[in-house]
Amino acid sequence: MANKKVDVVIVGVGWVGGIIAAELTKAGLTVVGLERGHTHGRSTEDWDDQKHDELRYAVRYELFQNIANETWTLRHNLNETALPFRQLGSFLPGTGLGGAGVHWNGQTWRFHPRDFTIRTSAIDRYGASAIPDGMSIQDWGITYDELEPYYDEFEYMAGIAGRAGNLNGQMIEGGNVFEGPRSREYPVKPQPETEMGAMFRKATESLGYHPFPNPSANLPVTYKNPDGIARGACTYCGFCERFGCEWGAKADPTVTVIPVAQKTGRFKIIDHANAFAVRNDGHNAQSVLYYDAAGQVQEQPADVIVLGAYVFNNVRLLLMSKLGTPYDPISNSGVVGKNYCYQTGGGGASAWFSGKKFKRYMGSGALLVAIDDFNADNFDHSGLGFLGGGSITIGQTGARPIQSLSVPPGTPPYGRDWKAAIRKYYDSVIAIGFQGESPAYQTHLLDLDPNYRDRYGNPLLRITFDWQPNERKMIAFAGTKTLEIMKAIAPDGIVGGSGPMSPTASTIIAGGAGSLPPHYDTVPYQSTHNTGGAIMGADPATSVVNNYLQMWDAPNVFVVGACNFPQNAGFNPTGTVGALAYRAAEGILKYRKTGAGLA
Amino acid sequence: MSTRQHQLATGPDLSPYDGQWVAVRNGKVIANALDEGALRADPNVREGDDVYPIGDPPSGFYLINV
Repeated sequence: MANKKVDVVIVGVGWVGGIIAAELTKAGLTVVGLERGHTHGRSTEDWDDQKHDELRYAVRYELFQNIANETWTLRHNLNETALPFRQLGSFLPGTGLGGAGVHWNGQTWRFHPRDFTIRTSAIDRYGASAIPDGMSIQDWGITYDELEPYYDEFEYMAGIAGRAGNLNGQMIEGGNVFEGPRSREYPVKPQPETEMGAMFRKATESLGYHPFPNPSANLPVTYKNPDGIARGACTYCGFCERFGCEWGAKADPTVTVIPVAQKTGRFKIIDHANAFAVRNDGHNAQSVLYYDAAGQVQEQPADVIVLGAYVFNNVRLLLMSKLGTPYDPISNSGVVGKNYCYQTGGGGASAWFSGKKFKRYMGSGALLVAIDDFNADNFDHSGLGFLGGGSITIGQTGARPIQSLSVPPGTPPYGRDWKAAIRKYYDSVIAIGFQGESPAYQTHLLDLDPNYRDRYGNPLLRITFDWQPNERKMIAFAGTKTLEIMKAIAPDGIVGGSGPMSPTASTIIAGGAGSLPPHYDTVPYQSTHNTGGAIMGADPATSVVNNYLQMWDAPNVFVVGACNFPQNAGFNPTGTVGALAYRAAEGILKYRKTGAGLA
Repeated sequence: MSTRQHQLATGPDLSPYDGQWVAVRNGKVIANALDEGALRADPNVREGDDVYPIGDPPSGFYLINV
């Protein structure tokens, strides 16, 4: 027997589900959230026990998807047979109430105006021939100016700390002068500058670049948001990434939007509810089918269905539900699964100092200083042979005892000399990172694997992806820039050094032309910024949803999240995901009045 | 499957070149060398070829996340 019908059912209760639930319940609608994980262990009070246990949370993945139940398969090209991920590695999807919004770092960006018109902008500036054969970048069907009010809403809800670089078109030094115009200043002043941050700022200024404090969801001061939610200031404990914040200083759905929805009395969360299909007639959806904690099939009917889960889960649900036309990379037709993208890392530089202490054990997930000079199309790509770029940052995000140990190249991987190097350099190393764009390609996609199934017998999601020449050249370029900056920070540094424990070694630098592995490797952690597969756009022939994140093929289904990105930018995605969630909530309310497509 | 689609689907296997620089033209590796200078000096390499290093980044502990 089906559950009682409600106005809206949301699959996944993370940032997207929490924001939409808050906005719709405030407007008087009844909402059910289906959360595949548990609902305990997420509130501020619940974090009191063993909160800084690195082995439990960071090494044994307490907050992440259990891939013994459901995993993914990967192939590097269309001719390979995909194999399943047997261990978590390159990315870490969250599970449980709040989702990845609990264990994120808090780096909260707005994408550039050019990112939303990437194809048009590239052709306008460099000509159509500059877009490599097979690269399928496309415009979003929404502009930065259209999305700006929703970015603003997310930032004021979450209490984002930062300094504007473009206020209503007026450029402000000290902020990001490459960003799109903001309608008002950040709600919270920037986080304090660290010693390594000051070194980076001075070095990049000396090179003519434009440093600014990284936008942060970690509060430097107490803050009360427009919903009346008050949160305390960060203690800089250094346990953000892979951990929840026991203090509530890191914006997280469980301490911001979910309590607002629950306070209305119109939001019900069903935990251990693993959605596997949307019942539909090809034009409208009627309910969500899910497995309960006992593995029994349950059904939640609703007038409006929202898929607000992680990228892979949203796309897999569409494919398993036969909603929308699956993408075919050979004919380049269909849309569901199209334009899967990742995040291109690498091209960083590190320096190990003798006798310098940075207090690395303190920090927060977004305590960074950044430059945006080599992101997007903020620099002239003529003659470089690639499109795109990325953000360059230095960060003090904490230095936990197990996973934050860094020693210079050439140090033995164990034994007496390794221990000596750890003692010498634990608090004396800095790193400049590059987070690059991931363009879309015709042959990168998500579909259902024909061979492997999950614990319920349903097909796994198959990822087809590999590094392409454009990104290899971008990373090689990035490595020259991060090394240039590191040399400006440490002019007496020796690139490569003269042996890690040499008494004559002062500062050792590692860097140079960045490189990517021969193929995308699922083993080392890289980034959880998977995107695409249910992309937004202005044309039903090339996108799954319109710019209200409403399905072209089923107007009472909204699919929301990083799955909407037609390609991934050189930034962390959460700010844009939050903005899209507010946009979708507005769209759902409009749809409730008109009952029609919103495009 | 057309020739163009086949090229899109496969791409070169770069595993044998781990730690080296490669030059790629029309989806095929046409030269490789231990460093960029030596590769560009190779007479087989022309202007317009894709040239890049292959291998793990030299620095590694920096993590990026959501």
